[in-house]
Amino acid sequence: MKLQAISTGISTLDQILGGGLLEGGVYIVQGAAGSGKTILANQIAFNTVARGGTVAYVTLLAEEHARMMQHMETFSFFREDAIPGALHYVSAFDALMKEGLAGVVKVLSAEIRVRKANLIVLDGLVTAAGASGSPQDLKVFIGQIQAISTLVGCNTLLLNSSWAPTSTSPEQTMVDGIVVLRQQLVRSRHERALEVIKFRGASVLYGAHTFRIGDDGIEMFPQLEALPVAPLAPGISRGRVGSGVPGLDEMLGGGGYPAGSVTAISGPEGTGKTLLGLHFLAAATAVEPGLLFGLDESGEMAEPISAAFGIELEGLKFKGALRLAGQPRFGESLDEVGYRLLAAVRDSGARRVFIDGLASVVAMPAYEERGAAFFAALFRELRRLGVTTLFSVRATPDGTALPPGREVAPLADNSLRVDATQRGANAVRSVSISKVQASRHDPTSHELELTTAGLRVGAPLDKRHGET
Amino acid sequence: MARLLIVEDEEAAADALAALLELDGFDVTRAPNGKRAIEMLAEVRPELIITDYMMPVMDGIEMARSIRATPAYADVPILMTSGVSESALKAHASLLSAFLRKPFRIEALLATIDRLLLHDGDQIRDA
Repeated sequence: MKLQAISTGISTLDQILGGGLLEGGVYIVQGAAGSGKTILANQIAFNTVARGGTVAYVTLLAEEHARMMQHMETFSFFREDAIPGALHYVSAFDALMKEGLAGVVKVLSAEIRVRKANLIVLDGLVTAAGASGSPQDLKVFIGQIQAISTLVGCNTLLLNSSWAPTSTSPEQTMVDGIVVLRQQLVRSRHERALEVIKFRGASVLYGAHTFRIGDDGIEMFPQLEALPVAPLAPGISRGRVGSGVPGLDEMLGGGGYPAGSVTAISGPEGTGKTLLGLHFLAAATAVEPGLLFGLDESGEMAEPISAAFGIELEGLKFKGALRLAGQPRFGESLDEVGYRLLAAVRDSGARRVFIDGLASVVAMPAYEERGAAFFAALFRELRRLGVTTLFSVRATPDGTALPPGREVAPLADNSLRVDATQRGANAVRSVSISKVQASRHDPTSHELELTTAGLRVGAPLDKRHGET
Repeated sequence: MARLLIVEDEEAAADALAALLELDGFDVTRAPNGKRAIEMLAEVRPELIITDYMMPVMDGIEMARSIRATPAYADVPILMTSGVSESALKAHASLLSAFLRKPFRIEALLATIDRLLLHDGDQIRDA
């Protein structure tokens, strides 16, 4: 009998679990106080109710449910009308005090059988462990819960506030799965992560997956590079996508950037990286919409910058051909940035994407360990979606884009560099191309002229200097 | 309500099964193996025996053979539950009234109990 995967109602968590919780399974959700166990369990409980199921939330805690419910009311998943019919909060604390673990089993059996619960949450496994006379008692208790869950086909979540997982403890060896929630400070950033350390019967995504607790409850961000590679989206053009900068399409080999490719634009501050991106977006149309994804304040500055340099974006925004999105800098994780970007691409149907300010992502703690794999996965997904992507990354005047080992440009299909050189009283901007995906390009550095209508490619620098 | 004898060596599984069946009003007694179950027959006078197959001391098939050879209890319906497939127990089918492969759902068990009690419930002979 193949066990059915039951959705948690959190699609990204289902993705991590290989489809969801397996029917009749008993799972430990473990984490220190404040790690998000109660929120996760309540969110899954309300999601189960929303699908027509019934849930019993059984606590072994001395405190009342009222306080917890007050906290849950602040989340969008909370539905007052679900309580107490479809979602029943019940305390087994008295039963534990009077009859020990056998009393708790009676409460659980009655809740499951009488209410025909699809999901049981038992909050307070540490209390149960403390009340058991020996490890054997606890083993029997977990075995009873497992047997009941199997007989009835309901899922059981055991919430455990024990900090350190001990893989040899009876409850850990017996259950069908263990999910650990952690929170930590990483170089002054607060980061929450979920890790599946055991899961029977399904292919799960191992590793630490970051999550955020917001108004909608827990929002998961599975590691991008851990996801299976999906096939190319249908109907993807393999032509060229115009750069929007007069003269640059010719430098790129004719016609602009290869459609569905990723281009790195690197250069020192103030050399025109953002302007090249804004030109690219200004060429968006209703059938080829654009998206600006700003990773620093540049997202907010796009409109004033474009207005100041004569690049028309306002009309495109009005027509719905352009969307400006951004990502707050503080507190986010590498994967959250990736998910927000991909969600914005999917939501907007964008075909032209400009990611501005990539250096702020490179500064994230996880970047050192996962940066290359993360961007390889992110770029692969953007290509798969048929998106032509440009990203800007700040470089030092000596040509180093980023500290050694942190380079993103080599992962791109195409690489442009913009520079500014002082010639007398004037700074002369230039653009050069070091690679274009599977095609010839003009390797010569050209002047990048700033006009009242924005940028345009001028003469080759050598020729220009020869003339002067 | 009907008297059931659960023969199961796994304590947790027996506890869970007993707890759920008692909620449905059954009078449940438990035995940890086939030998102990046979010893308890006179006292419990079960209307139905729910037994595991593989158990220490005496397994479910041996127990069923012994019960079928005892005129007083020969007609007590025996429901066998096991992780092995029904075909593996084909040679012993005549000893058993019904079979449920583990893991099973409580609804399937209750339906089988209802069927067996309805058809065979009055067949217990006086000891």
